[in-house]
Amino acid sequence: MKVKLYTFLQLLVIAIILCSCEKEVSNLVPIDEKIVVNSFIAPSETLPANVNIQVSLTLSSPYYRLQNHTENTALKLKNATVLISDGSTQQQLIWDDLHSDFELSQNIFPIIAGKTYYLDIKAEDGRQVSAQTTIPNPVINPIFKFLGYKNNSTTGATILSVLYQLNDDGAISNSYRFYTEIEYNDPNFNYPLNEQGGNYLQADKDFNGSLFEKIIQFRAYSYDSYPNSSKKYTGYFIVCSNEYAQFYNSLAVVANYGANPFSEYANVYSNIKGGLGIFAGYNQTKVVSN
Amino acid sequence: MQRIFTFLMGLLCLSLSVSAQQDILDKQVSISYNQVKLGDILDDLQKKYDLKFTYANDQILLGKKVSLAAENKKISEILDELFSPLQIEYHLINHKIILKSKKDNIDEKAKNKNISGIVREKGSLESLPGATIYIPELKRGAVTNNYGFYSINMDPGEYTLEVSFVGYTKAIQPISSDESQKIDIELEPSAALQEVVINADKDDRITETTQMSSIDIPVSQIKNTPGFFGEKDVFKVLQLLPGVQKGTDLSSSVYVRGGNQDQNLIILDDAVVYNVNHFFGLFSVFNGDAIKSIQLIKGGFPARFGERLSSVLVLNMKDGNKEEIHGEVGIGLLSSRFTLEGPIRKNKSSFLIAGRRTYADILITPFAPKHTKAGYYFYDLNAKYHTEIDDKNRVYLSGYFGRDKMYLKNISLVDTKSETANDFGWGNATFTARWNHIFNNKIFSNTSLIYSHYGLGISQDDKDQDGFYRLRYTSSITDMGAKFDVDYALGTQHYFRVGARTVWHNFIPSAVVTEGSAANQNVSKKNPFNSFENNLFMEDDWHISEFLALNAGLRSSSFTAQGKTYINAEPRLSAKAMLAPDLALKTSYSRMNQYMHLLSNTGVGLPTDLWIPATKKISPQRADQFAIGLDQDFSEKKLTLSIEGYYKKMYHIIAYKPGASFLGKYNPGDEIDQEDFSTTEPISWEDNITIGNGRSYGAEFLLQKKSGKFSGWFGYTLAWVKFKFNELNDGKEFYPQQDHRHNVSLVGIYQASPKMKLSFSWTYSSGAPLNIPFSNYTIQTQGPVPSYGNNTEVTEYSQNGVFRTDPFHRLDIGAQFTKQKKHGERTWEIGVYNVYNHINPFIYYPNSKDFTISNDGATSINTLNKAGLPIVPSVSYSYKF
Repeated sequence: MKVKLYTFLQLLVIAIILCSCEKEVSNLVPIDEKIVVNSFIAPSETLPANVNIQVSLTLSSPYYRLQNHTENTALKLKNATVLISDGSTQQQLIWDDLHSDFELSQNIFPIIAGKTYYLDIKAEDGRQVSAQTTIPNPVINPIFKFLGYKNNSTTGATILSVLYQLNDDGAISNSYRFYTEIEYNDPNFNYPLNEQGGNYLQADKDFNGSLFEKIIQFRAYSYDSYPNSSKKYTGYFIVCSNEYAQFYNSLAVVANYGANPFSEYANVYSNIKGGLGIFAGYNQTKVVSN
Repeated sequence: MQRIFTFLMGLLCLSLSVSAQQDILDKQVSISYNQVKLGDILDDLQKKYDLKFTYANDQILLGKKVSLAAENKKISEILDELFSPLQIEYHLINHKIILKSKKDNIDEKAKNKNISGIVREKGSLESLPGATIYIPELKRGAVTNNYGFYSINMDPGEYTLEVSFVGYTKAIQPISSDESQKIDIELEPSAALQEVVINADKDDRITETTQMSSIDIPVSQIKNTPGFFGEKDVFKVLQLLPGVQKGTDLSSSVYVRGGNQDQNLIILDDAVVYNVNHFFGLFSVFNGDAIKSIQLIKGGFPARFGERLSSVLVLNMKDGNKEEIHGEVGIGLLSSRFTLEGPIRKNKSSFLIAGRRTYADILITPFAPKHTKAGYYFYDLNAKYHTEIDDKNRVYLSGYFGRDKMYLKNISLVDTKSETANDFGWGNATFTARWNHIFNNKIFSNTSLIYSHYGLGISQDDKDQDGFYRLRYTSSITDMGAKFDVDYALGTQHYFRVGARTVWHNFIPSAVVTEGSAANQNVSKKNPFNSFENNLFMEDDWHISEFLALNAGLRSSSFTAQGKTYINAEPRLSAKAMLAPDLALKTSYSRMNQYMHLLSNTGVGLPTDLWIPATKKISPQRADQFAIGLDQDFSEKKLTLSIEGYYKKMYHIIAYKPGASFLGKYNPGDEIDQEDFSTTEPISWEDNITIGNGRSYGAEFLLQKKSGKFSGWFGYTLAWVKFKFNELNDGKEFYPQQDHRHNVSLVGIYQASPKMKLSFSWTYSSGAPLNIPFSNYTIQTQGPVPSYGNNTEVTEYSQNGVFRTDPFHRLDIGAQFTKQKKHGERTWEIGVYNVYNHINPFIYYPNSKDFTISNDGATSINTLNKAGLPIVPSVSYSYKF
């Protein structure tokens, strides 16, 4: 009897140990789906002619579900009223089946540098979100030069060097974004060939109000693929709104550290009240290198 | 008219009052005293004839024995006869008899006689730091310093010297201080039934000292409290005290009054210990068998302590028994330990050596696959040598060395020449050489040379038929310093402490050496930082009167790194007012500066946390703390009660920015790779840090039963901690992980019989803030200009403080069975950790169940899971000889 009782107690202890190490948390805060906004706006003269004001809407998917749930966070939200205003005039954006977003031509509602724009969205189920952004002024005295290229002796990669120069507006704190487009005109191909690189985001905190010069080196992946082509180098200067810069900076953090299990948690910046995502303005200038 | 009336009424009252006063002295009485102390005579007169004497302790020789007899004499005549030979004059003012020394007639040389000496443990002659010396006639006392030394000045007279220390029988010795003298006291360890519990503010009576927010923890207490797997741990007991927050279950982390972990100064024999964790925090590095005393200070810091913002934990190693050889061995489920101590020259010099090692790695070896060798172990070793050169000079040499090591070695089953070996190890080493010199009865000095090192190493060795690759990553901090302190007893009211300290810090946040048989594999990168830290301090324990005492001090600190020098002054003030014989009101203010930061990933607590100095970009941390409290002794019931409130403001505290990690692109000391073509600017380690402020406030309650068959304590803390960083939580104030609103601890020890001791501890704390993933969503991002079709799914994490973990609570019990054997004493101990099997999680993780993918998307049930330890029984054995 003693042996049986002892065995039973042993089994009981083992059973407790094995079944009690892990449990589900029950005190979770209830979480609802949120409207996710994706929209960047800029004055039309800096963009290709056919680009409208575009607002894309999706829904977030709460992480914790007690029942089976199908998650597709890329599924677009169609049934909503999307309004944009500059404080005095308001226009409604219309659903566009081609791009699966809400659009409005800048011929009807032009985006102008220096103005603040307000976005108000109301979904069919009554959920509402809003956001605002201000369009920065264009870059002052931009200079862009292609400086040359070299081949890395170890990897064999082609590294291009380009120069960006501008005068910073000392009255405001802002950020700039640069990138370069290379067009390859190869007679062997009868369609346009191009690639982009040297993408670089820079805050003006260290050169506020002064001349800014930056040499950016980047890898051109297609450079050796078209040996017979002539090449055209275009430098893009983007003056970022505060929302634009914070969004892309936070995105870089998430991209760089997201896979590291020891990294601090990081959220992508959002300026959408009551929701997630981004509504940000920018102003773009392009300069072709001689 | 009204004014004249008021004046006349006042005059009348005054005349009546003077008349009434004079009546007191005209009363005729009879007395008889034969060789009775003056203090006792005054007490007797007060009681019998409703007199009230007021005097300053340092002016009246209360211990002086006098004889006096009178029959039906006026009180005024009796007082004349009593005070005249003692050169005391008296005045009757407002019904009080004010006593004052006749200055001209006092022989100054006769004043300020001194009693000094060393307090030791009887048998081992181990010096006892923190023992209390009390003179009831003067209602004044002193506390022995770190080396057991005390010094008290007093007027000539007959007194009683009461010396007490927790766990020891009180010694009472009559003394005559007509001449200065050296009196060494030996205290006998209490019998088993005597007090063994935590002792706040050093003495049986917590109202005696000016110091507040301080707790002494007897090592015997740690040995009596139940522990995980029977392993006794200093830090696990610290976590049961008010004002001390714990990290996750099993962790040795402590957060004191809302401060971060790096804000605790932990010193072992004057050497700073930078990492206190064995086994990722499961155990602390301090072996209770080698430790003599432990003191935790949470606020009201005396000027002799600094360097950290939130707490000072002072640990002293045993000196070793000077009379005979003793030892102890212990065997537990996880580790074994030994201690050996004894005299080298009897009563003059001694040694101590103590060690521990875990053996899980040895036990699993027979079960491991042949081609794989993996394991984990830690060990530590404490050693000390102590010698008394003569009555005035003593030398101590002490050291600690400990290592943790994880290893994994794989030999290929296909190609036996191919093997991979990985090691991960960390550990501390400290060494202290100290010289005590007693200049005279009043002046004591200590000079220390100190070395401390903490290092972390990761290595990888790969080899096969084609070649080899070797990686060595190390990170370390090394201190070399010197310290000089002087204690000086001045007059009957002052006890000064002055000192200086200088330390050279060498930081190597990361050093990487790689070697390989392939091209471009031989790399060596090492970027050390050097810095100097200097301190000067002066403090005074000022016993102003029976009612009021102060500890006032000033500490100056300077720190030089990267060509930048910071200089700061740190004022300190503690005050005690006796509201009643057993009730003290205490208050304190202290400013602290901290020139070192620990870069730590939230909630991880790995040995990979990096110590870094203040630099040009990163300012030193600073804190201002104000505390106020009431201490009460209930002597008859052997109870003490302490209630304190505090407010602490912290400046320039650091944290990692969102997304940052010690495995970030650039660790401290790395050179930034200029050809790293990222979408943003390269990030240096200083750019990985954000600087903010914090504040914490709360109330602490501690009720202790100090002795008897049943002893223990009840502690409760109500606390708030709030941090604010521009780059965290959208710049809004938030609750950090150490914010637990309520903390309760209940500890009991019951001596059932001389052979059996039962104990329990129960602890509760509110949930802590935790950031968890809340939702997923898609953003359109790629390309310099946003374009369509580039969807990225990202995760939304909860804002700080939105989600809190489950409340923590746990009951542990233990029983010790002791038996005297022929050559010593053996103890069996059984214990149960987490008796009612409540899961206190040390990790939370999202979990997906029933995961399937279809054209509509991914389908699953997602839950948040937690993992923790269930009920764990344990047994251990020890033998003491």
